[in-house]
Amino acid sequence: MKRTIAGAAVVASTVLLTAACSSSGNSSSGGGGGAVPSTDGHGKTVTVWLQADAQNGWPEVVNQANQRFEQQTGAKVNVQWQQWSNYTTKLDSTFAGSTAIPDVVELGNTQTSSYIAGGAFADLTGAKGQFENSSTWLQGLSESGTSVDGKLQAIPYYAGSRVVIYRKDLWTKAGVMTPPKTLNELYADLDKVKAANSGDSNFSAFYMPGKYWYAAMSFVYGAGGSIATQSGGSWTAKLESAQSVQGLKNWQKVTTYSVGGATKDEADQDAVMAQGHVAAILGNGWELGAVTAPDTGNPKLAKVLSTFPMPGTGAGNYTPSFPGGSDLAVPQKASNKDLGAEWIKVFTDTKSQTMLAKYAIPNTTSLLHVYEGQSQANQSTGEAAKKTWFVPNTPNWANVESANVLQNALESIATGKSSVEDAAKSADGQIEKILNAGS
Amino acid sequence: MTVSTAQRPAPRSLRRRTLSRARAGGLPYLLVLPVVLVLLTVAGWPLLKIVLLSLQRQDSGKYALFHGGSSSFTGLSNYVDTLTDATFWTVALRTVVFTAVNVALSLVIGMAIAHLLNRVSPWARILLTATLLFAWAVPSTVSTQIYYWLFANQYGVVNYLLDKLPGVHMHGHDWFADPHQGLAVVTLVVVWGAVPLLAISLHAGLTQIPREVIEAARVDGASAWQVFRNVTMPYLRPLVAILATLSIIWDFGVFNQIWFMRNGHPEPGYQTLGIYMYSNGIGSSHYNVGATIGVLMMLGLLAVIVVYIRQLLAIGDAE
Repeated sequence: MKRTIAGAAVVASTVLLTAACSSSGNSSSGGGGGAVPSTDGHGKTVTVWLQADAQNGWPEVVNQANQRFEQQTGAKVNVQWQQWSNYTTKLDSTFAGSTAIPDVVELGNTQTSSYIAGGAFADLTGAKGQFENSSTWLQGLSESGTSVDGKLQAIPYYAGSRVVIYRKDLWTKAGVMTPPKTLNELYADLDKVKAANSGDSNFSAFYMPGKYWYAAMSFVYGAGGSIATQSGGSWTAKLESAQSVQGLKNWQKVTTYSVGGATKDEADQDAVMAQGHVAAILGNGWELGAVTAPDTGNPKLAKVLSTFPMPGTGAGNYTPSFPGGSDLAVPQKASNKDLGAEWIKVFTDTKSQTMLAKYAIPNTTSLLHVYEGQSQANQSTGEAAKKTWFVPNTPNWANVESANVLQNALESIATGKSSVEDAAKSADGQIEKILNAGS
Repeated sequence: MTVSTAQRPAPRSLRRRTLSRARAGGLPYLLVLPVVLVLLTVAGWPLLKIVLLSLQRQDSGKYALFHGGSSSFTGLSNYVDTLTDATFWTVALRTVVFTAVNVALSLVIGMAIAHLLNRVSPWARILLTATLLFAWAVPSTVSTQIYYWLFANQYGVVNYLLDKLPGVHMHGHDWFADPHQGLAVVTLVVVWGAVPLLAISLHAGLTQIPREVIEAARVDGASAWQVFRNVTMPYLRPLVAILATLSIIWDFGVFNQIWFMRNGHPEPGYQTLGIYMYSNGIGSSHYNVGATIGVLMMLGLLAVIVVYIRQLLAIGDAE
């Protein structure tokens, strides 16, 4: 019976979507409508979809924003916590309908472009000046919230950047006293760490999961390569280029220091590191907390963990980091669009972002110092946030991600099933097909 | 059995049917009406929508989805696209093989345990039945995660134990690098979850076989296999047919076990039709393609089980 439930869930979601598709006939407003923050909200309720990251990480930031918003507008706020898994399916079916549309939604910065192209969000270009710090927003985030024709449709919320999280004790014991400045120094250091722990067959001098595409692509961009470039309206995949292949080989070199992760993604790398047989990982700054968490990690490691930005080909030339992060948008079909915009305005103003900077990289470079002042780890991640790369800005990119194109190619490299060149060629073919599909 | 059914004289059954209808009037229809209405709402309507969706083209992706853009009918073009895609056929073949292996293993092991249940003392039977029920009660998401841990390459207990055997070096062996090995692990989870229902149902079936018949066969010198083949199986056939049909339906659509075993990112070698439909349809917002694959899956399944349904009806009629 229980297996029918799985089937039923799939069918049911298909059904929901199917049903939703049919009911969207009359509420079309063309996708061109804008929204301007408004404080006139007496007797209304604003529905906000935020990911559980805020619920677990910085609930007080949300609470103070809600309080200030409710005082200013007289409206009530209903925050509905969301999960990342299958989130786009939920958004699709919600936006396809015409009822129960939230007034504010959070989106990952790789998810925004397909919704912007789909006309899902209200245009906030006219009100850009009203959002505090809009002139100093982090570039990776503001790019992801802007349509191809330059309209602002999603407001930067927060970012994360990846750095090397390493076991200072193990590195020191192996004779490595200072963090490496270049990739070649990194390899040499890892050789020493590996040699010093050769008795442990589970030991990874650098744990690098085979499906960790954010990491692998960082090496690609660090070597001067890219995933794809656009010219004349069509996309050309670039993983086969000499620079990209070099980048992939640099990444492959790091995977040779990794044991046991060839067919995994980075989802459980913190738990793996907490086991004590891993001397370094590439992770978001907050993953330090996950490695040392009392319930899922190992608190004893708190004293011996440290961070540095991933070195690059030359000294001071870091391997660029992927700015993970989120944006906030007002759905085009929301009933309280102007109030939704007002809530975003409060939630992303200097006061809120200064509080948020304790936990995550704020949306503006003007507050990076608050974030970096928190800890040594934040200095590394703040530094890394200054040099970033971003996925091809096209609505079709999300389909490359959901088809696992890069993950599959990288896994075949990490498991030794195919050469870097072959994997890059096959991935390029799929990426071009998806990016150039009629959207 | 089937042959005799087909040639059974028609008048008798006709008369029986007319009689019962005359006696009951419209009441049976009235009684069945709520069920029909519920089925039409929750199964019929969505089914119709899925078929319609598979015949339409989704214009300009999400824009059309959000703004009720024209979804023009394109005839069978979605079907042509899907059926001319080599990947679809690879995936379909893989699904058929996967289903066959899983159904066969589940039924054989289920039958073996059913016979065991039939033989052991009552207290052992109760213990075994309770254990089977516990195994059955475990949600597939949980059992999949547990098996994933058991087969983990670094700290998994399976590799640890195998490595203890003399001459075997399994430390660090990655079961999921090769999709065949990975799907074998998935098969283990699926069969593990399927066996309890099959074993308990078949055991119930076994208890219905008159002892005299089996004893008579033994007295006549039939071997254990001959008894099973010529006495037990004919009695169990209707039950086995139903269980096999259900198993095919379940195993053909296996999703959770593969999806969670690969942490939501199944590699190409792990794609069965259910996974393929999800990643090509829902995962990439190509709902028309997803609907097309879904309809094809349903048709393929129907073609297989229609044989069984006919047999079921024939058996039912014969009694």
